[in-house]
Amino acid sequence: MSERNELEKVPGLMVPGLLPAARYPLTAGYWIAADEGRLVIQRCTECGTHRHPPAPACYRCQSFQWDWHQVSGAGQIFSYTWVHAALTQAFVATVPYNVCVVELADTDGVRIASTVTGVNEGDDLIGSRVQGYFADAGGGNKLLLFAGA
Amino acid sequence: MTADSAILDGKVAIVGIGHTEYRKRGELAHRGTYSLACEAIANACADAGISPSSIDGYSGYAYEAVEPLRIAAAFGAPKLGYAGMVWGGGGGGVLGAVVNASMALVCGYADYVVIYRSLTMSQATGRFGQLEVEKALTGDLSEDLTFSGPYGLLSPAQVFALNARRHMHRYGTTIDQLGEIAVNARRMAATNPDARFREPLTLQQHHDSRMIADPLRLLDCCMESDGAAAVVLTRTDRAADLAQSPVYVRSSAMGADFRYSSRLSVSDDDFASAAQTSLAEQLFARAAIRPDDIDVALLYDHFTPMVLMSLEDFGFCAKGEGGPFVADGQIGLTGTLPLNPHGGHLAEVYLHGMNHILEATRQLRGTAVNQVPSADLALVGGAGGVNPTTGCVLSR
Repeated sequence: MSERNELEKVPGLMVPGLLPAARYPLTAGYWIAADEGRLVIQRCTECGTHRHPPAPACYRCQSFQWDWHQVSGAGQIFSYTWVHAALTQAFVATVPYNVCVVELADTDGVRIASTVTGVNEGDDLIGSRVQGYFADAGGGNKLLLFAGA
Repeated sequence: MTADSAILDGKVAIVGIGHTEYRKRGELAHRGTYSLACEAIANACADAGISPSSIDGYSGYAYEAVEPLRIAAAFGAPKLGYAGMVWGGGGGGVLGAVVNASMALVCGYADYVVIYRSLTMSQATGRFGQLEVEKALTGDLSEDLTFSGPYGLLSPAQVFALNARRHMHRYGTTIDQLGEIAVNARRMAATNPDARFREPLTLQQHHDSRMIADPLRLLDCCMESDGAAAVVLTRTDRAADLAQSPVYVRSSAMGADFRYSSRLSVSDDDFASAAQTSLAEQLFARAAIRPDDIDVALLYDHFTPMVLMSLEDFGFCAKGEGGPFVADGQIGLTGTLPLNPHGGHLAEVYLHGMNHILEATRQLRGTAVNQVPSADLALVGGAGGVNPTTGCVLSR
């Protein structure tokens, strides 16, 4: 996945407290891969089932064995919202912004929250094909965003 | 379903209800949650005809500000038999407190259990709708929320907007239909002197209210409030000697339909739902009734689309038919399922489901301001779309 600089369109990134912290044992691997521009999803090495957000055991076979599986970042928008009410001063400049639920290809129906860039409010987004990419979020963090595929 | 309805059915009753005044968020902050909780509990005990020092059990649910022992200390209660709390879910857990209270009573750990909620939502004391935002700003996002917080997905309204949008996509649910739930709440509250919002509302006013998180407008959301409410439960052998006609707990249950590691990755049916179908199964099976036996429903109305999806999950209409159901007038006082005759969270007060238990009790006593004629059975549902979600069936 390529990197683009569209920070000004992405809410939250300027709020230090909102930066994704790679400090939790189960999730650190996701953010380390993100720093390298790779999207990884936790996968059970016993039965192959993906899960997100990370959990210690597989919901399908209860195995504790897992690895990080790199996926393409291709996906489809499953649902979305446009946020208009800024909850804090930090969001005032970015509203309205969208939060989309993206169902990732190459997984067992794993869906993740993200922001899709290059779309407009009023667009019928559900079902749209999108491609993930990482943007520099500052503070040494990279954040997964999506754009139309 | 292996539930044995005989264990609880008819053995536990609500015998007292009480509350403080209901005000806009922050307006009772000067009184503090401790005083408000004690006032509501004292009122509930007076209603039951017992002294607050008789309370020997406390059943709470997530985010309660006032710990039981402070209340016991205030009233000089000589005995503590039970103090327990439902984990997680915020207002989803409210009727889980009935589950726990019932077990404590039937098992003999306590004789009078109180369930209560006390809220003041000033900026100084914290606002329920912004819990995660405050955590985010102090760098204290939980593990899972590090995957949604950076995108500005933090508040309940923003999260439930995603479920609502999917429901609209799948079933053609409209803004008008969501608005009907807000209009119904105001229509009910018009005659309720305790209600915060008594002015009638039109669909146009609903549409014109400012957008919060599309498709949720301001008038799709309950309004943060200050106040406290309490209910007292006891075993039915004691209830007969008290001041009020007992309202019996026919069944109570906890449930969760969001499975696996993420609520975002559940089945499409569960995503476009209030996550209450397994809860509904338990409640109706334990009470040995069907949805159409319910005379009045008190459903947790934190956001209008969650009410619409609760109606489907509890089987009052088919999946996907919640929109037409509410638009056809079925939830009005003369409809097939009168919904939230006190005005609910949307119009009476947002007290994390407590005011819904109070209203169900009044309906079954026959003392409600918007009384459903001959109400025998009431369903009370906790917040949909959260884990756990809980409910109870009450009868007179």
